[in-house]
Amino acid sequence: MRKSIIFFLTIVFLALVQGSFLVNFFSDRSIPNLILIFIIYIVINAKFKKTGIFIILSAGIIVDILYYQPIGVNVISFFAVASLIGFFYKHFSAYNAYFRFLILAISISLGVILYELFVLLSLKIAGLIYGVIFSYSFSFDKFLLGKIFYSFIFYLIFYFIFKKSYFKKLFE
Amino acid sequence: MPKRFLPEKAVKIFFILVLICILFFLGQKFISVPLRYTFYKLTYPFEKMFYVSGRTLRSTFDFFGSIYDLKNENARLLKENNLLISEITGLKELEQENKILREQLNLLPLNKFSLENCFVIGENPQGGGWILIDKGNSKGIKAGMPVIVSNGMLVGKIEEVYADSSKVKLITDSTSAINAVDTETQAKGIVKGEYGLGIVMDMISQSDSINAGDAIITSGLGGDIPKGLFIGNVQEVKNSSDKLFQEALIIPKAKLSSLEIVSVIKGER
Repeated sequence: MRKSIIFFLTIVFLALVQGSFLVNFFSDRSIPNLILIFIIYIVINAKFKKTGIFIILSAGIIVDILYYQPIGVNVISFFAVASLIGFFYKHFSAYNAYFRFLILAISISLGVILYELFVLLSLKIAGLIYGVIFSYSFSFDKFLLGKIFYSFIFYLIFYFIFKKSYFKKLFE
Repeated sequence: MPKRFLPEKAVKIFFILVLICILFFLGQKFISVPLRYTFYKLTYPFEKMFYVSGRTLRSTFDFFGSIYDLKNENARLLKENNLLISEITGLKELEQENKILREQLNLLPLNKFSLENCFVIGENPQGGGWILIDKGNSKGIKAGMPVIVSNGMLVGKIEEVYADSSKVKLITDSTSAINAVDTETQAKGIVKGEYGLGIVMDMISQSDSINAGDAIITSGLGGDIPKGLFIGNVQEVKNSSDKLFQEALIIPKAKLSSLEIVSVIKGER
């Protein structure tokens, strides 16, 4: 329970930082998605399962609320990305440090691209259900590359913060 | 021990799928609005704090980044200052001329309207389309009210209102549609956003004339946005894809990517 509350507050904090702080420093479409990076971090490093489901569900709802998207769009996208990245990392992770680093980079890039695609797809479905058009722009361009690069940097920041002994216990 | 009908994993996946479907189908009407209202009420002070501190930090970085150019800039400004002093004398005359032109172009006399100045406290982190301002229904702001920057340039309109904050749909949003008119030729059309990237004036009749450089203002049709708010200048004119109408690419005058203070037109004084 304590763990779930801490993760919930972390997600709210990350959503606010992303929506109100980082927007001042990054160009529109290359703002790193901190919550997605946090979920990828959990998928790769955490040892729990039930709390993971709670984190993804609450993260999805918070992002939907905060970014004015229909409830469910980010829940579906986060679940899909988490499952695919989990599968990919589990099957391709290696003992060699360099190779592991490469797999990590691919996982993050894949996570960012898949997330964008799933959000786009979910918004199209939501648009059909509600009979309205939800605007969302996605294209393979320099902004996407920028987003992947910044996501990787933030992943490393998360890695060094959460590897500290206090936080380490939370992911067990 | 009896064998379970369904494996535990399948039950979990089924439960998650059902939950997602419920969220998706009921989300918009029954869950989304009250949740969003409560969430924004609780997070508003934090959101404002993060945004303002981000802005301050950004301007500090910009300041340090510009120190190198300050010496040259100073010399240039001194020169420019002398020029400006001579120009000031002509300004009073221009002010009078501006008043006459404003009347001729039907531009909105802003002093007739009750404006609510607001700070921008959030933006769409997924790329353009909307901003969040720090005033809501406690200050009399309502959905549909036009939002401008101080000198009468339209930036969008209020889409959703909360207790202490409001969401502004920018004119660059793909779902935004505003009735507009060309001040030179009186050609009418609808200004639409293009996925947060720019704006186009669509549905211009083939018989109407519209030229590059023309000023585009709101036409007042539809009622929610008053006539005479400046939108931008025409950059390029082309035929629409179905060739039934003309389409003009508009360059918005307001810098929508770096808005800090905006004004909401609440109504006539």
